[in-house]
Amino acid sequence: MDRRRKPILVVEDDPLDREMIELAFKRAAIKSPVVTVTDGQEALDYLQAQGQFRERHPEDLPAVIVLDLDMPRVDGFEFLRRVKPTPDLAAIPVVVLTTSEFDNDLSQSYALSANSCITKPGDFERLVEVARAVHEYWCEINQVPKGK
Amino acid sequence: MRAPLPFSRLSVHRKLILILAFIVLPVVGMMVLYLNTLRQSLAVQEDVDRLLEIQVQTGSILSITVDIQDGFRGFVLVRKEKFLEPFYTAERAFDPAINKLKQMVRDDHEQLQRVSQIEARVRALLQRKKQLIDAVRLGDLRPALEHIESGEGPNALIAIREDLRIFENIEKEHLNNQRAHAERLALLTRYGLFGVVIGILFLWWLASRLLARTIIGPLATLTAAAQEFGSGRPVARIPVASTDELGRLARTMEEMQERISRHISQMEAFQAIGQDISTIGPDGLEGVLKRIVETAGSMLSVDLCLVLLWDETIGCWKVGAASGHWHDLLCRSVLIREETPISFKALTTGYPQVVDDLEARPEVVLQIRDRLGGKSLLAVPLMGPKGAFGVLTLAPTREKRVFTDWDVRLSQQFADQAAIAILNAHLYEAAQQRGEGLQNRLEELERYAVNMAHDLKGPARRMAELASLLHMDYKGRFDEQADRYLGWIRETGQQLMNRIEEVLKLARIGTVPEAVEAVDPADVARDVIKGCEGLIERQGARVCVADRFPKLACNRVHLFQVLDNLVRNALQFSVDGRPPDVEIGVVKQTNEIMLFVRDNGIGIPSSDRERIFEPFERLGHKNVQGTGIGLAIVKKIIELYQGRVWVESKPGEGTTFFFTLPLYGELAGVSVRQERAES
Repeated sequence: MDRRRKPILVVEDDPLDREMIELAFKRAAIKSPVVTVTDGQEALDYLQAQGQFRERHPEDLPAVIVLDLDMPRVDGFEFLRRVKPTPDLAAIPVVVLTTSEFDNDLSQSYALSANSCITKPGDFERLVEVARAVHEYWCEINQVPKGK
Repeated sequence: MRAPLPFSRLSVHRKLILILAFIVLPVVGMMVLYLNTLRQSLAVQEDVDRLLEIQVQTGSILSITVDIQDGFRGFVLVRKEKFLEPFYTAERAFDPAINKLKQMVRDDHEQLQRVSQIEARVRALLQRKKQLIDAVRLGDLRPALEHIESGEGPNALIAIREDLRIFENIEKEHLNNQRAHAERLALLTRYGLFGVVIGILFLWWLASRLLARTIIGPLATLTAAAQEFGSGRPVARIPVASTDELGRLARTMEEMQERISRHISQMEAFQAIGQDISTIGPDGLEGVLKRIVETAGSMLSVDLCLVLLWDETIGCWKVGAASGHWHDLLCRSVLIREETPISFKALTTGYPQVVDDLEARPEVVLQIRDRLGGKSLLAVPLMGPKGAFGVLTLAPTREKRVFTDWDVRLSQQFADQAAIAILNAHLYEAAQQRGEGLQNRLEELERYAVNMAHDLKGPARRMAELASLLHMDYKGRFDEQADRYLGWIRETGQQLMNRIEEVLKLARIGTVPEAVEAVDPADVARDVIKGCEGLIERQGARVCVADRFPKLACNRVHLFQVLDNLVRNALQFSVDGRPPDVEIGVVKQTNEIMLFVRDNGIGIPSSDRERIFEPFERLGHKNVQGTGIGLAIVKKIIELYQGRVWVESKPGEGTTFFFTLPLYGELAGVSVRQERAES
């Protein structure tokens, strides 16, 4: 493939969770690179190529963002609130992956234009399945506008 | 009776004397009249007797004169001494007879003169005859014969007879007069008696009228008034106008009635007051104290009224409340014991203390007088179970006041009620504070538990994930036992997560407003059965749902959770070798719907029927899958709708869970938000 594969951006503050999710994507044998950041602020930095991500490749905008809700600094809702109104970033699908089963959290996520919500399964096998499904749907099937 | 007669001004004593006089006097009068008549007739009788006696005497005097004449004549004619015997006998009889006659008419001067004249004539006759007899004895017959021939003797006799006749006639006339008088008197007495009897009757009638009018009538009126009052209807004005003892009694009774009525109304007001002051409002103890001083003040018309509460620890008074504008000035301020000796005495003795004139003791420092201008003082102790704990102090500041016994008694009664109200308010406040503390603590604990569950969920999930990762990656690299343990760790982590999830679910019920809608239980039941399909298939169970359900007013998810939990329960707790047979049905009652889920499972012993609704109580069936919180969720949801859930069961035969939910229609169109969500 000449075309550079767009990465999957994982936003998760818990280091163990971060590693598990990363591992799950790896186990799902997907080819896309997985970028992990620790909170909403870092994720924003990544998207806007600033701070520590000043050097990133301009084409490395993520194919999908996997977002935790409960995070320090900029949490998931705040992240959505900032990303979704930005025209260049609005089309990037955001999958909320959370422990919360509260209807409120889900409703609010969708209200802030999250594209999907998934509850963390609590079983690594299931997590791998989730990772595979996310990749398959959002990276392979889902279509986004072809930006420059 | 309206215009008081002079009679009615008399006292009852005088009236009675007068009335008795009315009765007695005519009788006395009649007796006097009768006695008088009797005396008169006796006098007449006496006169008659006297007349007869007089006639006897005059007759004897006449016969004496005749005897004198005859004796003389006989002697002269025969000159025998023997013929002189009648003469001498007559002479001897004359003196007694004439004296007697004199005696009889001694009161009548004229008649006495007449008697004297007769006496003189008879004596002259006797004298003459004796001279002549003496001459005859000496033999000189001639003067005697001349005397006889001259007829001098008969003439004297005639004169005497005439005198006697006149005398007698006068007496007779006198007697006749007397008789006529007596007859008149008798007649008069007859008529008089008749008149007196009439008079007596009239006077008796008058007396009885007077008695009725002035004594018996008023007594009856008083009795009636007393009876009226006795049966609870006080008569304002007792119609007894007289000024005597009965009138005074009536006035006294009126006063007494008025006073008793006033006291009764005070007592009634007092009772209402009792309820009023002991009502503990949102203002708590302070409100109770304030109401006590205001009520006591208005009840006894005293402008300054204080509740002084004795503070044991500092040995001073604390002003609990004061009436009127004094409240802001005095409330919670401290009064020194030495400057409030009267109230302190009431506190220590436990008896009300009264001082009518505070000015009379200028040497004593009295805060109530010197600082607040009290003129008089009534201090009533507020008695608690361990003696007085305060004093209700009443001090009029405008003018001196003499507190009557009634005032003191009333205020003591009031203070007793007030004391109870204060103690109750104390207890209530303490309990309230404790209750609030408890409630806060419980809520805090609940929040803490939810937070903890929430915090535990992440690590539990991670542990389960790690275990499953280990299990995946390292399966077969250890021995078989290690593999099994890893599997258990994975499973246990999963269970832990599920359980925490259920706890959070339970905690969440009612915290979030859920839309109430018209829900058809049949639809929900179908969804539930669909969700349990796998379980039903595995167990070979049969689940049947009633055809028709009335619509319920609740949240659809809530009903789903209830039915889901109950159906899963019914499927799980089955008897080995007997496929579960579950029925979802309905019993409609007047204003609520009673749904039930019936099974043929193992049943629940009666001792456990309450406990099963507590979280994590899975009684003796650890092998059954589940978190043990399902029925707690059911109970919480049903209670959210003020419904009831209960269980009927026969161990070994089956169990039926009943629950009630509101019928749709009552709540139609009303968007119900749960209480806690709004607060």
